Amino acid sequence: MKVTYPHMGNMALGVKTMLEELEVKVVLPPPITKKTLTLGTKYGPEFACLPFKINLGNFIEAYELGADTILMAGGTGPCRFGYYAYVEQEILRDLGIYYDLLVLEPPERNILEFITKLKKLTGNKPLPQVIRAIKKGFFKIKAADEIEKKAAFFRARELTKGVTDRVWQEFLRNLDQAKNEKEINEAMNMAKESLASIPVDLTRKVLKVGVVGEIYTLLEPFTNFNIERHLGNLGVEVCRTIYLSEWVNDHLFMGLFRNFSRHEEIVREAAPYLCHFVGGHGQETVGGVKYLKKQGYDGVIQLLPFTCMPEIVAQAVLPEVSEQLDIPVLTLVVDEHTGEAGLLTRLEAFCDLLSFRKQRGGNYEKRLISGC
Amino acid sequence: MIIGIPRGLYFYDFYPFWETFFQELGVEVRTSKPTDKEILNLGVEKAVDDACLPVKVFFGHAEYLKDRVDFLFVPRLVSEYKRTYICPKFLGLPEMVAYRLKAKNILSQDLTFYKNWWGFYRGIYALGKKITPKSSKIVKAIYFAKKRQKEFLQKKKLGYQPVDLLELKNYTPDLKKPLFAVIGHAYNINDRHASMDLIYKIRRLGGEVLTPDNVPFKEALQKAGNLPKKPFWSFAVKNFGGALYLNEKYPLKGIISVNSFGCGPDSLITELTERYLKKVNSLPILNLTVDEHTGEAGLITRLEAFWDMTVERSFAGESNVPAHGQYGLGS
Repeated sequence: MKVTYPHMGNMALGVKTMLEELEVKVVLPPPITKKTLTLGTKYGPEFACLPFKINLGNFIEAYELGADTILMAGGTGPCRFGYYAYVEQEILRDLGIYYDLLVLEPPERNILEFITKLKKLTGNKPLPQVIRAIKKGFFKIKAADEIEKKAAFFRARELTKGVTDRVWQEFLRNLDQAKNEKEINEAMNMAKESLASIPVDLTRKVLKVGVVGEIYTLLEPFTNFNIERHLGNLGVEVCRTIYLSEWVNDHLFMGLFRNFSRHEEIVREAAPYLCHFVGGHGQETVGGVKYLKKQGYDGVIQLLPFTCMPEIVAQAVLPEVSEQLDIPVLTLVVDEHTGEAGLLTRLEAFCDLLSFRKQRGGNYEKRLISGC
Repeated sequence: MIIGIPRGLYFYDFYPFWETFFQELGVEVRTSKPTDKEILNLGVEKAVDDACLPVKVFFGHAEYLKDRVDFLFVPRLVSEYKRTYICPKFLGLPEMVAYRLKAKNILSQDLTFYKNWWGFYRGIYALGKKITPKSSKIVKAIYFAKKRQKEFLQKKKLGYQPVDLLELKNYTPDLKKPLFAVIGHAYNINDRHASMDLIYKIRRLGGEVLTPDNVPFKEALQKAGNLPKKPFWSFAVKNFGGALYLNEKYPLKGIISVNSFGCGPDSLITELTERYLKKVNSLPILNLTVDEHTGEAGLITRLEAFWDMTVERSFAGESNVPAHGQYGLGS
């Protein structure tokens, strides 16, 4: 059994560690490139969302490297993600690519259910080893998120452009090689030290921008054209409302670690603009805007793949939220046709607007930007 | 008090129910006119660009109605059957309408069948409480509404389309004509403007139409068991299961699948339906995607070509498998 799974930001790191700890052979798909996207667009359904197409491309490329089993998360809707794996398998089969499917549906009752499903992967490994593997994978994801949050601070303030990115890349390499918790901590400490030694300009007035939206486009730098780095280079401190470790804690561990994620708090903020969950991260997007406003952010960017249903609902109410809370919101829709230059132009314009607003203090005229 | 029910989305599934329910409570019910250019333009103007055609149509109806009634009825229909959802856009509909149209008087209530039928009727009861304090009156209204809805469902099982029952009341379907299964969402197929009168175009050509509406949900659910995982959208169950059921039960000439551009569930489920039906038999499938820009001429051309391929050929004793390649020069 050679297991593969789709890329999503830093997820590959954690899952790889977990599977290798369980003595499962892992074949990672090659990093996402234009070719991946082209493959997915060619064979996937026309109106499927971008993550679906990239996943499909990942699987085709991983098959060429010898993978034979797909490990995927599932879902109970109403977002399309819960049905990805089955449609993808059908498409792959028609292409002559035969994969075994292993879908980890989110546990409906408790964590034991999730572990029983993992049994398929683990065979007859003792439970402590399984738990250790999950724990180690989780810690890696958590470490990556922590450093990423810190890097956003330094990227906006660094004196020489690109230094933070180099530290980040080095940290990822170290993290990938870390074999146990001690080495993970070492990698983290090293990264923290290198970050702290970056020459920064602390007097610079930086803009603070929050990024909300659909989880895949948020987490995967390929789909959002590395929006965080671009914003950082424009001198903007970026924060996301969704980090992978929080998502894993909420959805796979059923909130095992208390007071770890801001999920509940963000969802609570969504009322009265969106009082019911709409699948995906629609409610979090709406709540996120209010949450970020309270934290003192200057603006919010909503990212979504074309035709993403929950985000369209959020997009429909965001102009109202933006007006009432007095915080500019920019909606960016990405799909396989999105050009990087167009996206950058809009980001720059948005940041200009934000800095004008900030300079003029409270005395600006109300302006509203949105994709609609 | 006048309550307005927009003629969009779940109108074609639940209108008889709501009409009876509100009338029994002593409320006047008003609906918007059938979709036309004016309504569609209103909707396109008011809704989010990325929303699908039926949502835009609904916005148009809501905008048209909102100043003509006291309250606009926009329930939050979470789920229609057990352990299913409809679509995220239905879940956010009340807020979308309220904030996009700046409509103040919206009568809304969460209705969910997700756990059991009790939740659904409790929602309807709570809705009745907003109109009248008398419990017995509400229970009675629910009873009569349910009865009326049942009659509506039974008529649908005989081959009537919702639009026949709600808008054109003197049409009797004739299932002996060449049969076509039109697979798609009820709010697209039955909307005569959005689907460009697809049902009547087929009938005018001399055929008859069956849709997932004519399939009992239980049968559809059983057929949907062919999928590796039970779909969590009730529309997916209806469309996939309905297509399979109609295909087995009736001598279909072909299947026409109607999608609105950008429909999330359809993008995956149509793919699966097509692939599955191709494996089972070689029934011709026509895929039509509609949005607010679709031209009618293109639809007519494709429909006529499909008709020629499926019906006229069989009159001439040919199959629907193209002759191309069989007697070609190369072979």
